[in-house]
Amino acid sequence: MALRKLIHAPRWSFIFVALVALFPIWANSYDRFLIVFATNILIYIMLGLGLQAIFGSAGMVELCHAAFFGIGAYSSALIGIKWRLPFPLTAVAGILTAGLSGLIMVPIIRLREVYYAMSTFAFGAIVVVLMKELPFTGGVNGLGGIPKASIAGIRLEDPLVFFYIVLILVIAVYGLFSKLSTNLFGMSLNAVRQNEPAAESVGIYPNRLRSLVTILGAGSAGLAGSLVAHIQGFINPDMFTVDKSLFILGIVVVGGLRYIRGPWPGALVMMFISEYTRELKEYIQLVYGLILALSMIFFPKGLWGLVTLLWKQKAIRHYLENSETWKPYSKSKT
Amino acid sequence: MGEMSRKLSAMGMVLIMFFMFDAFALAKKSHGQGAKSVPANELKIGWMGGITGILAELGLNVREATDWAVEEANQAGGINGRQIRIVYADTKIDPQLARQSAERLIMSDRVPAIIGDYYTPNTDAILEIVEKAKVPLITPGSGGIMLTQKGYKYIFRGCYSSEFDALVAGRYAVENMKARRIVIMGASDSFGRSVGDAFEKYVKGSGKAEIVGYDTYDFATTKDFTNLLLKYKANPPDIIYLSGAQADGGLITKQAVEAGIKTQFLGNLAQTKSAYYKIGGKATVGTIATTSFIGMAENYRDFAEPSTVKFTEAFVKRYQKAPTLDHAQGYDTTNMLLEAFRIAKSTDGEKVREALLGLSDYKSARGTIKMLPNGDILVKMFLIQLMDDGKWKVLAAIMPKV
Repeated sequence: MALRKLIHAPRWSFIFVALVALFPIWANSYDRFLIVFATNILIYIMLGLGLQAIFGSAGMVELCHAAFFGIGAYSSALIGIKWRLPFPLTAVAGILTAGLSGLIMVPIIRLREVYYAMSTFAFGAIVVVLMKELPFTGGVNGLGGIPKASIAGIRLEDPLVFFYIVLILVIAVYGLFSKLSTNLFGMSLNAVRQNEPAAESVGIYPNRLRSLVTILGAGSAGLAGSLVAHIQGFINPDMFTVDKSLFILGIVVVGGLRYIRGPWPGALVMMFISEYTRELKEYIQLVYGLILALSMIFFPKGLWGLVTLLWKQKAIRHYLENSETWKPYSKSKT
Repeated sequence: MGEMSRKLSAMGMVLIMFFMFDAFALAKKSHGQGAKSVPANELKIGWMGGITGILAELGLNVREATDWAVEEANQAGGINGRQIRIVYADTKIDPQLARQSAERLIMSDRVPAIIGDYYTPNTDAILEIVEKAKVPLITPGSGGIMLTQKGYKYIFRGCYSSEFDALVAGRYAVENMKARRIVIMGASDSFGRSVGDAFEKYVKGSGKAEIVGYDTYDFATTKDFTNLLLKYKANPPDIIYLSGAQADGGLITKQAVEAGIKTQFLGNLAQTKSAYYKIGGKATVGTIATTSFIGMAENYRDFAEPSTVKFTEAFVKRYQKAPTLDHAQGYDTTNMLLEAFRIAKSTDGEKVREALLGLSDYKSARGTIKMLPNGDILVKMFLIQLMDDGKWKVLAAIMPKV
């Protein structure tokens, strides 16, 4: 199938998507909050995908993803309020502005490792200050009265409708990053991460690649921001602080830093922990720390790393057992 | 790719399409229905607030008092024959998490009313949700002035608006302390900024004093205020008004005394919390702050109403410690909501709202409370001063003008 070839999706991924798409049908009659919650998870997956491309694939320790998220949300909201443009256009504006802000970061892309991390941390803090201080952002009180999202006359306010729109967009963003990770661009990026001088020696421009991946990651965060702004109708600077960046970082790390599919299980687990352990009250922090520590000890490559490990073992066993030419285990009845 | 898998994927896609259209149709029909039901003899009430994170102490105090009020009400037979159960949600200091929690409380737990949030930006973020669902929200600690000025009908305060904080402090500074040069230092979040702005407006409006400086900082991350403070070393102001939270206030006071700046500190309600004295130490002694609850002060009996004395004595007997403003506000907020349920004899949002608006002579742990039409409350304010051992002394009582 053309679509499958285009995004390199294995067979089971379609079954997975089908299950995700079926989920709200069940949730709708059981507990409608689950749909809202699932939508939030999808938005965090979108954020995680962008950060995974920057942090995981390009190896740049970026600590300002919430800033891109916020820039997308604010620019899309302001354009929506000022010019009353329809939602898809404001979303495009959000993506472009966030991508442009990624372009602003190009000068600091030359920095390496901890210096880059520090600069992005500062960038994240500066963006929050700007949101609070600029005359047109509504300041610390936040920005209200953002027009509600609607596409071709269908209002997205209903959680169910919004869920499917976000699902389609997340799959599109995933498809983009998945495509990029397997073509020449992704391979070059891998080469730069693993050995920069060697990559340069075969004609790869590291900074050009890094800039591009930053812009794409920032743009996808901008889309997430635009979605959040137009469905909530209210945003304030406290939603986009450095804490939020660290939470997104947690999603990527728990899911598996080097795996493009990592943000899916990562966001699922992190969101479930934060929402469904509230009965534990203040002891939740203990559980949180324990889970992170255990995941570091038992599956340092993240949840998706664990899955691929199990998958590989099964595949190897399958290969060995069915191989005609070489049988390590004697199956004869001796 | 095998023929089989191709068929499977095609079927999958068709299924997805089918269910999506089905879902669109369902969405129109079943808005607001659900299979979950609440037992008839139980009254669930939502509670939101950060009980972890940097403001955890405040949240835990409010929760303790809420639990106490609910326990008392349940022992007395519940509300209209129904036992009360509180559903908790930890919102940290994250407005997005607060929105998700509010949606969960309303859609999943189907609560008829919510107590919370005490952090102003969190409360701000959920106003629209409770308004749409017609679920009354009563906050035990969000003082941010703008909350009740946006025209929403389902927001109520169990605490007083920070406007009163700033106006009473401003009046005391200008009239009683005769201050002429004043500096404002406060957090740049919506709470700190609204208090600081209201104070600045009052002082400028009075024409009797001058605002020499207005410095803001990010209260979660700023730990070193020396640079801000050194500006005023050569010519210290009469008063530094703290419009931030407890921890940052403590650090400012401490660092100001260490830098050798001699001035009088005037604070808002946040500085009456124990963290201020714990962090600031001896430097904070002499600080004057505004509050509406004086149970922790040594001479409170001279100023307090009988209901305050009763609450304080019962609290000390039960918990073996001094009550705080958070406790009093948590207790009052819960009881005001329960009283509204009692008067409304129903859990209907509209009726509970009207009952809350009708509270005009409510005897609370802080004194007599009058509910104003926009959801704010009017309660007597006090100026208290920090003594040597971390205890407080009441200086004056002021009734704020509306």
